Amino acid sequence: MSDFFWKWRREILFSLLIVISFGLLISQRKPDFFSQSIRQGITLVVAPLQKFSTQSFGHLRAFMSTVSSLGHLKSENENLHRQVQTLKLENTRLSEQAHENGLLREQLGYKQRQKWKFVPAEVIGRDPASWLETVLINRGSADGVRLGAGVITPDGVAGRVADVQLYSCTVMLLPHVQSSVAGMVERSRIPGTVKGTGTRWLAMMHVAGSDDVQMHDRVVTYNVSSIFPPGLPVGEISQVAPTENGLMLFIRIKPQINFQTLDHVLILQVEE
Amino acid sequence: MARIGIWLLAVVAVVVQTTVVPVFTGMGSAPDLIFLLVVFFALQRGTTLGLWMGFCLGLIQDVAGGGPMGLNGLVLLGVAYLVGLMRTRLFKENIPAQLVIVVVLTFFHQFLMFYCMNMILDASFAVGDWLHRALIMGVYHALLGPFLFRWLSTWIQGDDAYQHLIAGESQSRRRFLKRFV
Repeated sequence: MSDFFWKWRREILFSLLIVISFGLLISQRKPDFFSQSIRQGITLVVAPLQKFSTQSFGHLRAFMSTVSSLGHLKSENENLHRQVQTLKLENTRLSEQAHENGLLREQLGYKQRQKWKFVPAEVIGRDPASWLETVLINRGSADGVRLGAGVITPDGVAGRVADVQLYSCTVMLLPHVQSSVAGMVERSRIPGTVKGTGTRWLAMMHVAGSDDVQMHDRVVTYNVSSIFPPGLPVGEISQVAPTENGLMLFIRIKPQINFQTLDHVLILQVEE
Repeated sequence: MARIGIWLLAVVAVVVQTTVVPVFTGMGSAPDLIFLLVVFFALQRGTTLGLWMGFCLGLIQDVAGGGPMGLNGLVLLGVAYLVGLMRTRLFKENIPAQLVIVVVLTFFHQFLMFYCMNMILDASFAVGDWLHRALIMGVYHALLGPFLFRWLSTWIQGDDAYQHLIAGESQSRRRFLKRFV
């Protein structure tokens, strides 16, 4: 008997580990206490190392970038000053408009829109060799992050929280194959579902062949979404073609964000 | 080389893979250091270590990269087992042979990933996606693999010689050598 085990030890080990891996993978569909504990345990050990490595490497890159841009720092500084002045004026104007809009909505008896607050977070880990577009960020349930919360950047929609640990969480980015968001063509107000394809492009589904959609139209979040505020940029349409039967449109979107260089994000939370 | 050294190196590799390597991503893909480590240790140290490394590092890689747990483990187990089956027939020290091994295994690794994604995770990747990724990663691995393998071989040989040196010594002399050699 022991000879048998010794002879086939590698095959037995291989089969055993395959079964465990497969079990773990299947359990992701409905995470249980066991798989959550394993994830939590590994994250607690690895996340601080990742944070340290990200920050150290970030400092090094920042230093290199500063050294290389020393020559034009003065002109860049002047440009930024000008931009700050313009943005300050714009901000004042928008605040006034928002206030006025709120008053009008109140007078017309409209339901007040949700108020959002933003939790800033830093990307501490991602696997560039992976087929799935996910990142690990340094905020977790201890910071009030909830499962399914929207994640954005100042440029637009980034994704949503797919798994929450104590001090970190996993974000499923927009290009992830299982990711989707309610979108709308900004110009013609045509709604649709924006889905990830696993590649650099997004696809917009459920748009009828007769709808008014054109190349370079901007796609923003639709106001039926409870995860994102309406009007956030999602991307720009880069290809429109009718499907084989001509009933629907095949729409390809170039995302607003460069997901390869994503390093800081904002997690959306509804203000109580 | 002491097992603890290998495992420490492996954890460092996971951290580098998920924090530093993303900066050097090009054409939608990047090298996979964990894959290269598993291939190297399965070639040099046999199936058993390769299997354990594939399983454990795959699991850590999944969690550290935010992916579904078990996916990388499953795929790396397949790679480690295949390497283990062929290891006695491969010319491990020859650089052109290493290039061919690494590229062929990259295509196999990416095929397993493609298969798992479509069959288990209900994704709908096309064969073209597999070929595209495998080709880019193959090039990365062909450029990086032989250098990494050479460095790891030197490290292993140095440590093996040291282990060999202290194997026949008395307890006190072994302690002395451990401290000063």
